[in-house]
Amino acid sequence: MTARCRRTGRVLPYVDGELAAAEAAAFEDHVETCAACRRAVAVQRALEERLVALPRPRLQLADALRLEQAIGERIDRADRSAPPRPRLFALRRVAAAAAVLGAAALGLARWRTAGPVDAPVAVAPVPAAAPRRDVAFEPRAGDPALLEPARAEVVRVLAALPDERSLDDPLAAFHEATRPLREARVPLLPILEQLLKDPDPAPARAAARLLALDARGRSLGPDDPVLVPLLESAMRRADRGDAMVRALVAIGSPRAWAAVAAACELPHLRRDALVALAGRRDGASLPLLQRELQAELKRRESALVDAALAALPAADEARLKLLAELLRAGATPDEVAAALRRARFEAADALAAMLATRGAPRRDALLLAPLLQDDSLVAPLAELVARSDDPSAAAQALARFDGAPTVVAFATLAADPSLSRSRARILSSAFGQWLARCDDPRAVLDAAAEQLHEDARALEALVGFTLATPAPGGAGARLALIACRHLSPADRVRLIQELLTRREPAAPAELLAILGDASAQRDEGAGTAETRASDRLLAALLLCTYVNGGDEPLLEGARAVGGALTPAREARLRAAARALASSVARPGDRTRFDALLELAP
Amino acid sequence: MRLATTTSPPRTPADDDRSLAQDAARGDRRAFDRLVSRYLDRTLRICLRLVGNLEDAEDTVQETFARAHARLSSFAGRSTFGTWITSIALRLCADLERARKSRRRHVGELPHDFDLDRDARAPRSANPSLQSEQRETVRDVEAALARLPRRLRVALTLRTIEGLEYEEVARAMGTTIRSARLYVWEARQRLARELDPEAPP
Repeated sequence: MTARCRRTGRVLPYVDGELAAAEAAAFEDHVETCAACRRAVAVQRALEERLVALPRPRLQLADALRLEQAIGERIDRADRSAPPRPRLFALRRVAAAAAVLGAAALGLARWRTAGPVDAPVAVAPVPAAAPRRDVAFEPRAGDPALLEPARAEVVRVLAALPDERSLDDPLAAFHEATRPLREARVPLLPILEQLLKDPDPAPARAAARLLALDARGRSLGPDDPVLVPLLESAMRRADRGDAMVRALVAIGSPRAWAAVAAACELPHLRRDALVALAGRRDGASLPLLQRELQAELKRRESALVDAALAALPAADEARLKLLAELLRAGATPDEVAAALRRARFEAADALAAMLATRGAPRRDALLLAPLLQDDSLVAPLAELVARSDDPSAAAQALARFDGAPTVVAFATLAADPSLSRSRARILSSAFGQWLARCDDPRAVLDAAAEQLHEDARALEALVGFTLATPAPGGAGARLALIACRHLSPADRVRLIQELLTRREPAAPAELLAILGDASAQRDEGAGTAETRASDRLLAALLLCTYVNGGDEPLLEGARAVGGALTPAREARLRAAARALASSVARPGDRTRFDALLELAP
Repeated sequence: MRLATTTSPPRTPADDDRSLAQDAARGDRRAFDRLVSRYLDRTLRICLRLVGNLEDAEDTVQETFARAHARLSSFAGRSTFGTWITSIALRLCADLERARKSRRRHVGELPHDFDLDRDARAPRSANPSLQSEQRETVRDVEAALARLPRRLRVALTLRTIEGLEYEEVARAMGTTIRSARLYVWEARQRLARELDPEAPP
C-alpha cells in the first residue's frame, strides 16, 4: 500500500499548471523523493494524456454553413414574431434575399467560370438592388464546391504576402486581400487549416506562418482546440515541420506546447522543438527540456544543447537550476555563461537569492555565479566565506571572479578581526587561485589598491596575501604591488625585500619604469613626512635593478632618480650595491637592508 | 527633434468580439454572423458533450445563438462574448437535460459524420489492434466522463478539453474561480479513480 503524503494536495494544481514556476520546481524536488506523490503525478499525467486524446470533432464546412443558416432562420423567425422594429438591416436583408433568389444561379455560375483570382467579388453580375457580395459568394447556398475557388484565392493571397524582410504586416495584408471573402462570410480559418495538409509545402508553410502571426490577436477565429492537432499532424512532414512548430509556439496554449514537446521525438524537428521549449516563458517545459538536453550531453552531442541554451533566458531560479544541471552534465561553460548574460540583472538577483539559501539552490548558485561575473555577487559570496558552514566552496567561487571588486572583497574580509584563522587560511589560498588565473594582475591589483587606499588594514591584508602566495603567481603579484602608487612606500620596500630575499627575478626595464614613476611620486610629495620613506623606496628599487641587471641599469636608474652622477658617486654606488647585493638576500637581514639608504639620491 | 508618436494598446480577440457584439446589437447582422462563425464549433462541442447526441446538441446551439441575438443589448461586455455564449449554452443544456433525460445518449457514440478531420486525430500507429485499443480507451474515458456529476463534467470539459482559463470557466458556470478549480480537480480525481482503481485517493 502506498503511504499518504500531506503534499499530495499539490499534485492536481501541479499537473494542471496552476503552480508558479518556483512552487512547481519545489514540488518537483519533492516528487523526486516521495513515492506517493510520484505515483499520484503519474496517474494524473496518464489521465491528462487520455483526456487530450479525446476526439474533438469539428464541423464539416458544409455542416457549419447549414447550421449557421439554421441559426439565421431561427433568428429571422424570432424577428418576425417580435413586434416590428425600424431596423435598416432588416430591409437590406429582404432586398438581398430577393436578389439572391433571382440571381444566385447565374451569378454563381459566372463567378466560378471566371475564377476568383483578381477580383472575386466584382466579376459577379449583380442586380442593382442587391448587395454584391451576397450574389458573388453566398455560402448559405450550401454547395461545398463553392469553397474551391475560395481556397484557390486564399492560396494566391498567401503566396503574395510580404516576406519576413518586408516592413509591411503580412497579417494586415492578408485581411485586406481577403476582405471580399470575409464579407461573403467564407470561413477562412477552416481553409487555412486544410491548407496545412496540402501536398504542396509552400501554401502549407504560408498558412502556418499566417496562423502564427495571428496567434496573438486571433483575428481569424478563437483559439480552436482543433487547430493544434492539425498543426501537430502536419509537423510530422519534414517539408513543413518547422513552420508548424513556429505556429504552435505562437499559439502557446498548454495543448500547443504539448505538441511542441512531442516534436522533440521527431528527428527533423528535434532542434526546433528544443529551442522552442527553451524559449518558453512560463518554464513549464523545463523538466522535459532538462531530460532531453541531458540525454544529448550523454551522447556527447553539444550542438543541440548550445542551440537550446542560446534561446534560454536564465531569468529565474528554475532556469538557473536547469543551467547548473546541464553544466554538471557537460554543457559548454561559455554557452551557459552566454545564457546567463542574456538576462544579466534577473540572473544576478536570482543567484543572490539562491546564495542566501542552503542546500541545492546555493550549490547551483556557487557553480553559476562565476560564469555570470556580475560584481553584485561578490559581496554575497564574501559573506558566505565569512559566515557559511562551507567557506571553501564560496571562496573558490569568489576566486573565479575577475576584477578589482573581488580583490577588494578578499582584502576587506581578511582585514576583519573577527575572521577565524581557518577561514583566513581558506581566503589566502583562494587569493592564490585567483592570482594564478588572473590575466592582468597588475592592473587589477592597482585598481583594488586605489579603492582600498583609505583602509590601511585592508591594504595590509592585501600585502599579506601577496606575500603568502608562492611564486610564480606570487612573484608577479608582488612586483605588481611594488609598482602600485596607492601602496605606502614602506609596504613597497617590504615587498622589494621579499623579492630579493626569495631571489625572484624581475625585468630591469620593468624595474626602471617603476623607479621612474616612484621618483616622480617622490617629487610630488617632496618636503612631506613621506619623503624619507620614498627615498628608501627609490634606494630599494635601485638595488633590485642592480641585482637583476648589473651596473648599467643601476646607473641608468640613478640618473633617472636625479642628482649629479659624478665619477666618485658612480663608484660609490657600484660598491654599495655590490656589497648589499651579496648579503641583502639573506632572510631577516634587516640591518643590512637598511643600508639601502646609501643608494638613495 | 523627436516626433510625437501615438500608441494604442493592441486589440485583443475579446475587444474584437465586443465591438462585433456592439455592432450586432445595433442591428448589424453580418457582425453577429461573424460571432456565430467564431464560436459555433466550440459551442457545439460543449453542447454535444453535455447533451450526448448531435441532434439535441445542434438544436441547443441554434437556440443558444438565437437567444444571444435576442439579448445582445444585455451583453455588457463584462465577460468575453465566448464566455457569455458558453454560459447561455450551459443553461440551455441543463434545461434540455432535465426535459429530455430519457432521450439522452452519451458521447461514447460520437457521430463520425461530424468529424471533419479524422486523419489529424487518427491513431499514429498503423497497427490495427493498437488502433482498436485506442478506440476502446477513448470509449472508456468518454463513458467515465459521462458518469461524472454534471457540474464536474462541465468544469472538466471547459477547462481540460476545451482549454478555457479558470476565470472563463467560472464565469460560464456562474461560480467562483476557486469553485471552478475545485470542480476540475474533483473531476480529475474521480476520473482517475474510475479509470485506474489503484489510483491513489
